[in-house]
Amino acid sequence: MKLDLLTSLYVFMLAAFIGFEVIRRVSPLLHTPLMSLTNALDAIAVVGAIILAGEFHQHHATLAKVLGTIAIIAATSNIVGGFLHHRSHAQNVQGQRVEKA
Amino acid sequence: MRAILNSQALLETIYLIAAMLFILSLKWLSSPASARRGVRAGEIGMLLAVVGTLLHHGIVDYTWIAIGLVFGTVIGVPLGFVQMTAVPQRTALSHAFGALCVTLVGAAEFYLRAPAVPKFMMAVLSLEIILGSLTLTGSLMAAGKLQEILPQRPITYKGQNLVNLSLLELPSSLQCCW
Repeated sequence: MKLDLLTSLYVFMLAAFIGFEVIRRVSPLLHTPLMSLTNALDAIAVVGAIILAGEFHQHHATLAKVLGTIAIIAATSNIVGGFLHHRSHAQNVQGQRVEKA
Repeated sequence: MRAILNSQALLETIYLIAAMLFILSLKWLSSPASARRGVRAGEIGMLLAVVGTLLHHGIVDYTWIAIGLVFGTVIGVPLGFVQMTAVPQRTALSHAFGALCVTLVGAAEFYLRAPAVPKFMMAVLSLEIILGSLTLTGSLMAAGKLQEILPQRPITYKGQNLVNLSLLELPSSLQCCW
């Protein structure tokens, strides 16, 4: 599916508003976990890296594959580390809430 | 499995569901009661997007992907179990990793398409690389300072403003001239 320029800009604009509105009323207690979760979600760029490293290229193949592989390493470490870390942190936050209640 | 996923439409649908799960994930994370559900939604969305891409018919060579995934996991697991006191530098470091990924993807994309890069894509790619590398070095400096590898005082040198300004100016003008 090829998106044209205007459609892409629409998606960008709507996504920007959604991001702002969703984050706007977050309780200060959750700022740190939210930060690390968005960091993990940011690693969705791994999709582009996988395509770079695995697709068939007619020329310039090696450099693109090497760059793609380094990008996969960086993003995967974010995904794995981010979600593992997050599980423990979310548990802590929930623990605090139960203690307060 | 592969045969089913051969259709482009299915991959697009998977991406759509993943995007929806990411939004829900952020929304659920904004209150402690549903924070756990939020993490779960994020995980499922990420898994869907990655597995969908891996099974996509355009992917012909899995060697490099496997190397990347294995090394990334090896680096990622210790990062998942850092002490609570080390969380700020961990966040800065993972910020740097994310920026590295984005910068490299942008650079490789340009390398594959050059010299026939459409104007709008060129603008987007330049922005991606400029902002990505800026985030990369900035986050590494922040991580170094938080870990106290680097000195805490501001690191300055003579003519720094001039250098910074030209560093910003040079890529921007290169981008316009392309």
